[in-house]
Amino acid sequence: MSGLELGAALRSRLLEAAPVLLTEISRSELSSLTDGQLLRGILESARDSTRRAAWLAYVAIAGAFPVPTQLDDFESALRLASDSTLVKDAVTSIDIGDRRHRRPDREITVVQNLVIADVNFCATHAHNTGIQRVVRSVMPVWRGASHPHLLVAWTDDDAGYRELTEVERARVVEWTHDAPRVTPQPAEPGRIIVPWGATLFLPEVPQYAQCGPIVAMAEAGVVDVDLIGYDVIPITSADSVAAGESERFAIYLDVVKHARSVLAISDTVAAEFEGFVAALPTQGLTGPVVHSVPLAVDVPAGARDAAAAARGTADIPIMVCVGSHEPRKNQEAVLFAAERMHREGHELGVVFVGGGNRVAYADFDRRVRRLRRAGMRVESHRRLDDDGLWRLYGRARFTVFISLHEGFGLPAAESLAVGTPVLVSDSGSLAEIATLGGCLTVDPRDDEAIADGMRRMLEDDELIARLQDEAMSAPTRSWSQYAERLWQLVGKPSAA
Amino acid sequence: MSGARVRAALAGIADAAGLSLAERSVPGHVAELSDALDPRDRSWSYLILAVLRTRIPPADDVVAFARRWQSEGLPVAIAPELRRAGRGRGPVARVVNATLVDVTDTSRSPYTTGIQRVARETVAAWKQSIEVCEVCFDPDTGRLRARSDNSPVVPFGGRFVLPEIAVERARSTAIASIARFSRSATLAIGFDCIPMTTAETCGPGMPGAFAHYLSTLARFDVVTPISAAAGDEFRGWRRMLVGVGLEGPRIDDVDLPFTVGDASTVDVRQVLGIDESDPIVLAVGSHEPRKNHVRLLEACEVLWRRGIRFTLVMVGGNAWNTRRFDSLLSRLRRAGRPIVTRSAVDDDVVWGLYRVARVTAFVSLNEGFGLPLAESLAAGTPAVTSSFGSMAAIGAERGALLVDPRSVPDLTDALASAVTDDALHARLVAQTSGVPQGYGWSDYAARVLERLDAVTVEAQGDV
Repeated sequence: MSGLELGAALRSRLLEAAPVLLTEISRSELSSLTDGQLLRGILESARDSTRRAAWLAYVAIAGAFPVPTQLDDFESALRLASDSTLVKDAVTSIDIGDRRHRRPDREITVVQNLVIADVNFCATHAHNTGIQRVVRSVMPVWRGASHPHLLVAWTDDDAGYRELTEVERARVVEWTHDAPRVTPQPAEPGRIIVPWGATLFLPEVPQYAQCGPIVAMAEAGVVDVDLIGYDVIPITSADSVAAGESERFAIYLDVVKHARSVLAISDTVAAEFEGFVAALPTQGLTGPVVHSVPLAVDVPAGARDAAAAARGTADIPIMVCVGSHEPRKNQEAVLFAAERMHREGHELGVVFVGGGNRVAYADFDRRVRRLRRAGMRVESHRRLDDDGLWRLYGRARFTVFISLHEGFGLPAAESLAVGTPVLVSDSGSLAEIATLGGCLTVDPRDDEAIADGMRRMLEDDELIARLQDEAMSAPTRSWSQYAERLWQLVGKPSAA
Repeated sequence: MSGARVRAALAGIADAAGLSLAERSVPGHVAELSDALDPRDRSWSYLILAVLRTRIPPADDVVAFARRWQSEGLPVAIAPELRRAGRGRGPVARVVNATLVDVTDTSRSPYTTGIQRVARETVAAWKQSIEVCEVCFDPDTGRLRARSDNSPVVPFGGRFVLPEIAVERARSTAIASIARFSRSATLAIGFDCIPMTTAETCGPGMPGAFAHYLSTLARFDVVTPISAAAGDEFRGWRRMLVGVGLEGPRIDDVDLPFTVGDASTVDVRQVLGIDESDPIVLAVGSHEPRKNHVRLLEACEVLWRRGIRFTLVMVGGNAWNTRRFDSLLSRLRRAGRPIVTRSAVDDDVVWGLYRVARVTAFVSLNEGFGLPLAESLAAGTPAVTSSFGSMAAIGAERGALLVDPRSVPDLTDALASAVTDDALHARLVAQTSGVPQGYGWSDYAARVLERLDAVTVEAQGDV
């Protein structure tokens, strides 16, 4: 073995991992070891220790995070090898054909006892709906409060975590709508961040290829995973999404299974994840603890003023329906009820706002145009800037949000926050929002109930006045309160 | 011709709705239906579309049709359907009010998986006691046909039973529509929720398809899981429905029976070429990742290295993601280890194997039941099995050693004891007499049927 000459990057990785794995050897002694001695020492320590140690040894040798089966193969090789074949068997058990294992030149930095936040999507995309808005509201609060944490994203080949570039950091903690839309290609990082005894905070839903490496870290005890649970729509509303989305989510549930805690964005979502956790003892797992940490009910500064300025400016009662165009959001039922109101002789204007798949909404938009030609005041907008949205809420007599399944229901919460009453679903997270006041609830699967509710909102001025009062006086929960509550749960010391 | 086909379809619809049509023309028929039926009851829209289209309409179509009927009248809504039906060929779908049992996969597949064994045995037992109409979805057209004469049928007002799993999206979409709109009492046997709870071990495509199947079960009246452990999965899933605002089906566990068939007179050792003196460690099941056969192979290798003599017999095929298994298997074969693998073996050979084996290894990461474990114990052969879920429930105190299947050292120790420790082995054999006796497939089928009877009255008319 004395002749073994490893690449400089491998030696550097082994030296970074060695102080953690070879605690009985001093740092100065470590640097005097030959490459072969270093490698053998690390492998022997991994063989005689835990899966956690095997994970770090793997990362040091491969320069990439393993998925669970890769770590299994590595451990198996360690167990079955004889002393003389240990190094060869262990190294050859690593699948160098894997696309995540093709950069043996990377170095690693071991990060211990820290909260690591995986904000990969927000860092690398300018998209800004649901989840991204939560992440971009929370992370600036943590930074402002100097809560110690490290933002990370994945390398392009999903080999491991890396630090963010300045542009990416700004996209997460200093988000503005005119932030650069084009993603500048990050300089391909030569260094991977390796968590060790850390808390891994997942405020996003990781992508398919990232779930395996995260699961391996979690079940090996390298990190404690705390994640924000947004919903289980791809499972329990699988009939309203593409099969691929359900599939990716089922793989994400492997991450959930091995997490320490789920921070659910509503009581309903907490109950959904508790249901999943209750299914786990059948496979010998206990699963995460589930906390309900409801999202903020708040709007940006200026939204209320914009809405207030627009109040009373409409010539007829306006009903607004905000949400991406998909079957789950139930726009068809809204349009059907609105059409009935129109036929009954009610004076109303209907405004739909929300993007979506062109194929999905083409037929809807065609019917909207037909109704308009028939004299009904109805519009369907696919894009609207925030300011336009607040003014629209302000002009509206009420909004309608009768989605069949939501994790939270931001449009309903935002409508309330600017003082506009909402016709809302009577179950799930939307029923929770209705308890804040300002809402009339209906069964979103009952066309008659929807029409009755809409009729009341149109006819009953006293009801509207009362709901407006309730909406105006509804308690707000700010984003900083939400972010601080998360920190209380995530920032506690890791047991890993 | 086409007018006659449409009139026959409308007569079928009217008959199912309890109406007799007086008019002779198609517009006259439509007017009569329009007078008698209320579009707010969407089962009528389901019925009309299903009969005119000769196939089960997706729920979205039913709802869209009902809305159009309500706002523009039945003649407008039905016009395009009548045109299409007039152009159609073949017999008009028959409306059936009976106990329909969907055996699409079981009737088609040459394999005998656990699911198909359960479906076959159960349906066979039901046929002894009640009138059953077996139905299958046509893979190309999505039509639902009676198995007896291949004629298209539309379930309405009877009972619809799913004794297998339905993961093809078109089929699962159709069944959801039946459950929502056909006024049928609906029951499904629940095998497990593994593609949701253990998706990482599944073949690609399965978790997504299975989620859709679960969303169909959400509309059922009752699901009977095959064990308390599978029941825990289904009860967990049912709790997850809170966000959708659906109550979900009643979850009523009905344990599968412990049975093992008669072994043939063939000499299993001779057939497989295994020395008379070699103890057999038997593993029955496909080599898919969930069955944990890679760790089992590693544990066996450790035993062989310790000089323990035995032959490993693995029966099962038809799997996915077997690269790791195949690679370790060929390494051990090259090293001369005594491993016999068979992918397709007659049932009586498997039953013979249970009887000659020293021990069965069944260390899966998740099971709805674990037929091979139950069969081995019923044959009086001890087992090494996983320390949780249905496997622990079946095996504890009944002749099985329970281990953490994720730990190769634990697995190794348990197998070593079972193979080498004769006193322990004798105790385990004695424990297998605790296996429930006299509860067979017909008892199981009768218990499931009781659950269906219980929901039939209350469920009918529920839309």
